[in-house]
Amino acid sequence: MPAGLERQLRRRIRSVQSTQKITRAMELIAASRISRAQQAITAARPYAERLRDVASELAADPEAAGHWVFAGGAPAPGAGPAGGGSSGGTARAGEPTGPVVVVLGADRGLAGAFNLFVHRAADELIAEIAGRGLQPCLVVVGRKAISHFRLRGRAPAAHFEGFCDRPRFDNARQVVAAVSEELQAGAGAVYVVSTRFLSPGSQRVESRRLVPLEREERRGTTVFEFEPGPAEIMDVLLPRWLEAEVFVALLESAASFHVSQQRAMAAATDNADELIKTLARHMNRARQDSITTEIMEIVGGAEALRQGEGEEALTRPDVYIFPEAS
Amino acid sequence: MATTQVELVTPEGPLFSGHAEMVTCRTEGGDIAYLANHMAYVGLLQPGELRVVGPEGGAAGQQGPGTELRFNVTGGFVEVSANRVVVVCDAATGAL
Repeated sequence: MPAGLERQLRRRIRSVQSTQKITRAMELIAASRISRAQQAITAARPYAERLRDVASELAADPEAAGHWVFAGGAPAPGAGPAGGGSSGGTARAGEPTGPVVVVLGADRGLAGAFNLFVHRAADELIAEIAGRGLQPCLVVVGRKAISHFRLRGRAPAAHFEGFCDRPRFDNARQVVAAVSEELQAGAGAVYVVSTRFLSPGSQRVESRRLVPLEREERRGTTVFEFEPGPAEIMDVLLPRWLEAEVFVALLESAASFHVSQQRAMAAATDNADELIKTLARHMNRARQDSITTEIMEIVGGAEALRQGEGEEALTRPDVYIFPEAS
Repeated sequence: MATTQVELVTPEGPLFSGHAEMVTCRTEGGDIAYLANHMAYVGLLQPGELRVVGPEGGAAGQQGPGTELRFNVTGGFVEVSANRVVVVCDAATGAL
């Protein structure tokens, strides 16, 4: 049915065109959000960096260095007797129990392999932790990530959604509140799986450990005066520093998501263009076929008619049919 | 008059950066003032007022000689090292 085929193709082209409109709109929206997300990252980074400075200065102090958040410090409160300010890294913390794994995913898909990469990295980390005989405790951000873990029978201890596009500091605070609860319960370690935004052209999924803190080499010989004691400052610093780190990670994840989405939607728009071109070619072909068939039928019919009429015309001399003109 | 570098940083971004003659704020131990070349110090910032007094004839930010900036800050940290006062707080408003 050549005529039917043409109509069918025309309908498909129209459908692809409307899909293309959507993908193009999504591409533009994502592109416009990238720069805003980038600005948010540059605004938030100094805060996290300054807190990291304070933490590293504390790490250089022997009294604070014994704090449980540092690698080789005293055991975490809850895991053993709450020895807040035990000086010197004498008590070697055993393997921390039930580390917290914070997974920062996205609420929506249609962003290429963005979610896939995050989920895969998280699964690898979980498998690695499970291999050490520990049961990781999941704190998951993003609807897609939540359903990924639910599907695999790993109910997250805490989950958040709805702010992956444009996270605010309060959101980081919520996440860290959940993490702190687990830390209080004796989880000795915190890992974060998230997409780092290195540049608009390069993002990478990273699993990194926030707690216990790696003790950095002392930067200078400056002796700091701490008020109140270093351990007390550490207790106040820890949640704030986690908030700052999680906030920056959330922002970077959001920016990376927008970049992925923009790239994916640009590719989808191009593919739709390609598809429309191919379909249009098929449609024109089908139309030409049906036109050719129609002409053949007309010509055939006319030919048959002329042959019948031609004989009659010979008997009527006042009518003359030019054979070429018909 | 010697000056000190001052930075006020919040999660929403850096709020102020400039030179000042004196910085005062409230810490756990009470109100504290930092002049130039203060010793290395880390303290807990209490909610209150942060004052940044500009140097004579110079400018801390955009203010004129001897004027001062006032911020309302929430809890956070004050870190002083290498003649630089860094105030890290959860939120801050003000500067008029």
